[in-house]
Amino acid sequence: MLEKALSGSKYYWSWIFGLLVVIAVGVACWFWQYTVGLTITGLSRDVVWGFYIAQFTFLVGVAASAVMVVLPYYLHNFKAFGKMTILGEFLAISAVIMCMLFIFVDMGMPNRILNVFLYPTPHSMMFWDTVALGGYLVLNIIISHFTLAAERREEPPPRWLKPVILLSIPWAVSIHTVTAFLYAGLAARPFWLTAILAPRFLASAFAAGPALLILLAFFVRRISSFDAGQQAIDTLAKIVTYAMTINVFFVLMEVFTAVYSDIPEHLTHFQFLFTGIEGESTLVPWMWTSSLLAIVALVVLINPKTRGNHSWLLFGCVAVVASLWIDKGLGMVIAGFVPNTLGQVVHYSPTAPELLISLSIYAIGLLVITGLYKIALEVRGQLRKATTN
Amino acid sequence: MRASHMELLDQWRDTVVRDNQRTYVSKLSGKEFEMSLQKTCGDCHSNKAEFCDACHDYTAVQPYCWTCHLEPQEAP
Amino acid sequence: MTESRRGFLKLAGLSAVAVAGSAAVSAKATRSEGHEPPATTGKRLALVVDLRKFAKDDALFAAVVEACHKAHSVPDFGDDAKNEVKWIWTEPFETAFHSEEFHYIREDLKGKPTLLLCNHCDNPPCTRVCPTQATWKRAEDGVVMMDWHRCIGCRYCVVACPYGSRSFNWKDPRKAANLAGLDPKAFPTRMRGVVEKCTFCDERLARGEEPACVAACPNGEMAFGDLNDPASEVRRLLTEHLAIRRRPGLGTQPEVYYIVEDPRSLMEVAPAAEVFEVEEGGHA
Repeated sequence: MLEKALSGSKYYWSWIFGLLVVIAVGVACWFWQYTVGLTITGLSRDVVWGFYIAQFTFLVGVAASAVMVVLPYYLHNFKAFGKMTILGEFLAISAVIMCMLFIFVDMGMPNRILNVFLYPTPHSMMFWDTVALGGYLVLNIIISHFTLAAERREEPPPRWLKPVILLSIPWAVSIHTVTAFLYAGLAARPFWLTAILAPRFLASAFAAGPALLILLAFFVRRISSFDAGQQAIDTLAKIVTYAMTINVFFVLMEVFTAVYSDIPEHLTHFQFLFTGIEGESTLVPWMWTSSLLAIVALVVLINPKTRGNHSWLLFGCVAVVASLWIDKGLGMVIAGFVPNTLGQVVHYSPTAPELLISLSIYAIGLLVITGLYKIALEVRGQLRKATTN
Repeated sequence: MRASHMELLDQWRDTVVRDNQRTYVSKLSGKEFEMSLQKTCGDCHSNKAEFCDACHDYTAVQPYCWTCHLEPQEAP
Repeated sequence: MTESRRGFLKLAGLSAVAVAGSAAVSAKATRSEGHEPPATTGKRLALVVDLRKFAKDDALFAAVVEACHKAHSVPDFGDDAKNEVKWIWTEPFETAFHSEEFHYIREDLKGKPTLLLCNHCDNPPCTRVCPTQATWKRAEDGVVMMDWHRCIGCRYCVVACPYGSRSFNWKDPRKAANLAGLDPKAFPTRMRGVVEKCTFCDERLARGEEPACVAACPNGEMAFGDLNDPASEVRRLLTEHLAIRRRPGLGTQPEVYYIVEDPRSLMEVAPAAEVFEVEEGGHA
């Protein structure tokens, strides 16, 4: 089936070539980083996790969000998602691969990565996250491969696949829960020490992921005759709306607890994000942009008239993704480190090589998703041809 | 030793670092040695080029012992 | 106590196979145990820093730091704070105990350099999070160890440490000027990409010596010993003086204590407190 990704138009190949160039630049930067060390990043003794781990966290959410199409389709027999599920699963595969790469580039000794399995450590949340992510990747590869192969042969998917698909539903929830546990179980970091972190991660994931899926579906419809269907788009838009509303609600819960209790070590991180402390205000414009985008997105999405209009929906989805990317892909991780455990205000901003390496991982993700969507569209295009002839 | 010194060194480093046992008792002679690459091994095998590099280069292996451990210096 | 907790953690961890949530329960259980009195069996090595004595000798701080960093080939990158590696260092007293908020403290303590190092906690969060057991608490004496051969450089332990005691090697430590031309018998350096920290000089303990920082103190400014031995110097110091620890509320049970107060000033307030038998002279 993979051969279908290896033939295409001039545009297809120039897109692939462009991605490969971006990837090549990032790989070169990574070799540099591997040689001299992570000193080429903006990370420091005080801010030891930064842009890489933040992207990882955001993308775990995108990966988990596939469950938002899989669950209605398989558990509630919601037929309108029939065409959408494969796009969701492929998005999950691409996102998990990016997650793993972001962890990989963040490691000081990537050549020792197998130590995680050689010395399995159940009391470490990172061990469980590795297991959860790896398992989720395998599950999605199996599910998407066999459903698509069956579709190609115009047969129903094999019966044994159903329990695997059902397993993937709680598994998707688990990957983001365990990722939240990475942060939420640390006495040293009061900003993350909140029981609502995992629910908040899930809510933001179920908003950002489906929003991304809507954008992808629009794009796919533009470049091919594949249409996910109006009902599927409408339902996804509702899912984004509810999830985003819940996410904003959760964030406000956090803000209330920190501000009203007025406990300095909780409050100070929110001050760093929204007002700046001791002159350190790198993230302030970003966080206000994120908040503004969240409000605008909610207005556009909650109003059924604008939500039903494709241009407005497009705008709303872009706003959701951008808002949540800033929140999770910048603010959430960095704010945990500022101020540091000694109460000192420290600075972090990613460096050019750090950003180029990150960009190349996103390019790898896009390459994977391009290839996989190409396969899916070709398989279905063939089907359509066969039925019209 | 030539064939399996890496296993001995691997055992030694785990025994010293993880089990806090620093003395090796030879099963043949009963002689005691401190399990230390720099101190015990380096005392006799004091020429890294001859004792390490010659074979490692030939077999194209690149152990990273010396990125941390300090290599023995030949007495002038 | 420590043993049973470790056993419990293992059991809880294993049973978390299906739902990671149960692992959170184990973390909770550990937290509540953290406030119980410390274990009474086995050796529990601890360090007592006498801030009153240090207050008399400002040059001593640098000597102690130098002794440790030289003994362990710790790289010195000068003013480059971003790549800094340190095992023991000083911070102003108020920073070292920032969560205590000392507003109106005695003049002789205000801004005083205070030595910070790994606390070798009884209930260390760093070893709990390490995915490869490259850092662990030694059962026989409570030293929190590092295995630089195994560390994968994920820095989760640095994130989990509430005391900022851990350093990551952002770049090759051998590039530091002070590590050029080290003696072949010197302590090995580390390599770029691993985390390092104080190990209570486990290599010196094995030879029956005190940690290098304690050995560098001429007048008992630091004391080291077994808290489970009622006759030990550290036990005597903690019984006779008022000592504080960094962020005890987190339940980590740090094993580095700081003597802050002259007991005589307490006796003025509470003359009945006969427990304070002051033997040493010269710090009135």
